[in-house]
Amino acid sequence: MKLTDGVTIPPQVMARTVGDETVILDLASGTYFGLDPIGARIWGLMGEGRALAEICATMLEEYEVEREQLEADVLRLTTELAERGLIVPA
Amino acid sequence: MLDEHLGYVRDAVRLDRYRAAIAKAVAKGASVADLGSGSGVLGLLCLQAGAGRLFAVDDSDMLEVAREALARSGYADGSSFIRGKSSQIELPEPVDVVICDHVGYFGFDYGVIEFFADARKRFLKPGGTLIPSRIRLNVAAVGAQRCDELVNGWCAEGIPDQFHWLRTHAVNTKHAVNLERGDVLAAPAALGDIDLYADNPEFFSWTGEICIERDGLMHGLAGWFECELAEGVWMTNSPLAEEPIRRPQAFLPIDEAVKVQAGDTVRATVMARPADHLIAWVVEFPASGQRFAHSTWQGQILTPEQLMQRNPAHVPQLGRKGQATATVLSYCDGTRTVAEIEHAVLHDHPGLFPSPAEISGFVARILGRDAE
Repeated sequence: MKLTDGVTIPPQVMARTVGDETVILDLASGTYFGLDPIGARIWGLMGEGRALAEICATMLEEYEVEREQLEADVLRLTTELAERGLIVPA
Repeated sequence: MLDEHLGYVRDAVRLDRYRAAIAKAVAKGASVADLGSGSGVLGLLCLQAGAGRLFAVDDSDMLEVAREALARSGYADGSSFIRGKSSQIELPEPVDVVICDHVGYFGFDYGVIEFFADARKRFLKPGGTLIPSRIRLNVAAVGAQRCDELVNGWCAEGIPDQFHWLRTHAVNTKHAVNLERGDVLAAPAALGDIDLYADNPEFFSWTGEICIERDGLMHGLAGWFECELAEGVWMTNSPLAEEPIRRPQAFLPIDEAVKVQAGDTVRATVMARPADHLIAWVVEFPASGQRFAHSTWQGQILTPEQLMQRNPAHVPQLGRKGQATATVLSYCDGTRTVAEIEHAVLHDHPGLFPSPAEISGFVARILGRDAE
């Protein structure tokens, strides 16, 4: 994944948040994937159709974090999600 | 429970369809497994048609109803009754025919796919017969007051504001609804066939295009089935059929009722993992660009703890009820009587539940469920 990438969430993939817990369900494989609150925020922004660079820009305003650290975290998470088929580069 | 089965037994069209299929597919002297037998009426029809041996399998107290009904019909000697879910029991011998009516409202939503996938491998003789053999799924656009009430009932006048949030769950629920012909806004789209003799996937995704035939307010999708019970013998719960069986259809709502006009196209995608009882549906209106996506997963009432349990990284621990169950079963050692187990639990674990009466009741329920 690259920061210039946009992402698409396939129709068979859906997230559910209750309280602080967010879990993604891939209906096709029947597997679940847990997200921490930061990951859940990234997921929510991806669901709005934003590119990864936009997501980072938004989150830099919301969290006290270094840009490099944030970008690395976003890329790590999105790469894992893509490898699991939970998102698709647009 | 009896009320539900009364509905099945008094459904003359259903019995007529099964009787016709059995006449075609069950040979004289054949052995039959009736999975999820309920009252045993399908097994009874098989025996009346000349089947020589019946294995009725059911995981509920209805098995005793089947036992009694078949005894009263004079078939006690030819019948065996096995308590349990079919995927968890063994048959003493392979059978010529497996019959099952667990097709639910939408065809795939009540276990028949999983039951038959297992039964084909473990119960059915080579070349044996499955009843039904094929399920055809249909989806239609519907608009009806009763559908609107299913979605918006929690927001209706008189419902306290504190409950209005439940609409989110209602719109993500597969509802049972008894539709009439006038509720259907267009001819249904055929989503696809499920061949019950085939190795089917665990996940299905079907898409159909619906061409609206009359103006109306669309509240969502309705799903129903056509089942081929035997060659040329079909059974359906379609509200458009001349002779449907008496069974509701599945209603899959959309978040916002949409005005549709004759000639409009609606694209419907239904995805399902039948074994997990999960259904998702996407409804798209190409002309306006509107799109609705829902799933029964979103409709489940979950606590954060329950949701966390779906996380594969979560390390589960026994909850209070699990600990209590383990405690009771630890006394079930093949030597203690029920009374001795109850006495031992009350004596050794007086804090298991707040009152001795609840402890005694819990012991009885666990032993009734898990012990033999």
